[in-house]
Amino acid sequence: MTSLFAPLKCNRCGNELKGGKNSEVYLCLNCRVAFIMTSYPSSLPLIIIKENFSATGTLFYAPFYKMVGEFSIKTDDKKKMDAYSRLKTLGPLYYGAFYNLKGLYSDDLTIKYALAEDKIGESDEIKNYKLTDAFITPEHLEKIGRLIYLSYLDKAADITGVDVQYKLNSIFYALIPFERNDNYLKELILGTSLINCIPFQPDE
Amino acid sequence: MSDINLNCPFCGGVLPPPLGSRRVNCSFCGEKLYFKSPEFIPRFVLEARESNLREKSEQLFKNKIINPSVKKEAVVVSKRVRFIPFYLMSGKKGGVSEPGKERIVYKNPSKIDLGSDDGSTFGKQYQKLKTETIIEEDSRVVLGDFRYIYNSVSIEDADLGLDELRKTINENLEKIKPVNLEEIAKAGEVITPSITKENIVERGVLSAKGGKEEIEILELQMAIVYYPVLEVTFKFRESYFSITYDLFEDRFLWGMIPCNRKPLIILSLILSSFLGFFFGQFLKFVFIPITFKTVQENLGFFVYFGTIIFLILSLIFGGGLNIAFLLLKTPFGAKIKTDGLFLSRWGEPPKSFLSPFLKFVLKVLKEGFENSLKGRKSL
Repeated sequence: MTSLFAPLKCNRCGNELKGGKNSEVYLCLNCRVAFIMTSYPSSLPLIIIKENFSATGTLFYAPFYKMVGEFSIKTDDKKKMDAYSRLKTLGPLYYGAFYNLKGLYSDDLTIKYALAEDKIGESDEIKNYKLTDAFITPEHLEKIGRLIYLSYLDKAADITGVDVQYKLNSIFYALIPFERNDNYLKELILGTSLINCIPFQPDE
Repeated sequence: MSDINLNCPFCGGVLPPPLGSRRVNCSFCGEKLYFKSPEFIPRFVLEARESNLREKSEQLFKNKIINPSVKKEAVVVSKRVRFIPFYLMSGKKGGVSEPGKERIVYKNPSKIDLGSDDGSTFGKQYQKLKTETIIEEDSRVVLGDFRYIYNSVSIEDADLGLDELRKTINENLEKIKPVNLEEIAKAGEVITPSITKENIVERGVLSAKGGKEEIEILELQMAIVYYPVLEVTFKFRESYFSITYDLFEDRFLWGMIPCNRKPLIILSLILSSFLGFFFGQFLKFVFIPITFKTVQENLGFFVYFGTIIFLILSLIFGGGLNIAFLLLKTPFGAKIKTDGLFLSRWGEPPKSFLSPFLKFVLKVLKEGFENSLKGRKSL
């Protein structure tokens, strides 16, 4: 018999888990573990991304899934293959675990982060406990990873008839620092401002 | 026996499924718990802001459409805060669509010799270009979020008011707060959705896919957002009226207020007078000539012609009287909408005593025309 209620305590250290009232993911900052609550006790390793810009507004952390995987392309079209081979190789994919509804900036950020692997470092400490809720589960990440690769390749040559496979090797739950100003958000790794972006549901 | 239960994992106490947020405290041992049921629908609320209802009401009642007596005589019967639920559907969609790209190409140009009258062919040749439409490869990768807000109840008097509220929610999504139903139930009446979630999901999925089967719904979440309104019911003379006020945007939403009937009475009088005058002029035109001797000889023509004109004018005059009567007797009110006040009917019009007469005149005219047409055909 399993209960529909899961304890909001870390099953490793016993500390209280942190998260918003309706978040899909709760965190143990002590053990650096993110629990996927709807399938508790399944969990992911938690990483905190170091900011490259200092915040002038309110600092908060937005949840992303960091996907590390391998992709392969198959096509008989040599021209297309040449075009794809000229593209810069993507690093790990960071995909928002939240709904970002005005302008789909999360997808843009995914490619930007994947192309700037060297600028993304991890931090040992979390400066602010203001977290935002995660509404996306990791269930479809492999499909999402494949689509991200396809959209990236499509910029070089049309992907009709191109077989792209993406194999997800590991997933991390990454907290990326952002700052909130009066009318815009700014991510603090590359310094991208997100004007008109719907702010995420804040934790209380 | 079911594999799942609603026991607290700490003390074993049986808990009710939470309504509102997934995070709850065990009512027995106080431990923090997470409700992980996939059927759970989170609830949010747009919190009421400071209201200037009194000031806005003063302004509203100054409007000339509204019966000035309402302010003095109306008695407020009830005032209640209500929370109107809306479904908020969010999700992620993804897939690859291959719509192809149409392109017109010119193929196999062929020279055609047109010849000429003088035997010269110079300049008389042209190339006939054959066009062909080809479909080029063009795939599109879709990976994005979607969000829709749907009504979950239908409110009879609301008209487009509910659409306005949906728009407001959409523009203020960052302001919605997670809430427990028990909390907001203390502040007012929480309306239960009458439209099923399944119905909404079906509509939302169709909209998100946009008719493309290859687009897959990767993530789908339903939530309910409650919108706070204040419903004021008042009694004026022997009738009850209600007004709904937006507690978030501080504005009137919908409702009906007794209107000022003076303009209607004046309009009715003008209409009747005008048509009466017109009718009088006609009678003068028709009947004065027939008193002359020369005209009397042609009485048959005037009787025939005059009768038709009389019927038409009766129709106009009767119609005018009828409109005037209906304007006076139909229950009109000042209808509140988010964009202002409008004169509107709020009850059924009474049966007009002139209606049978008008119907009779119309019938006579119709038969007359039909008969005359038959006569022409037979010729």
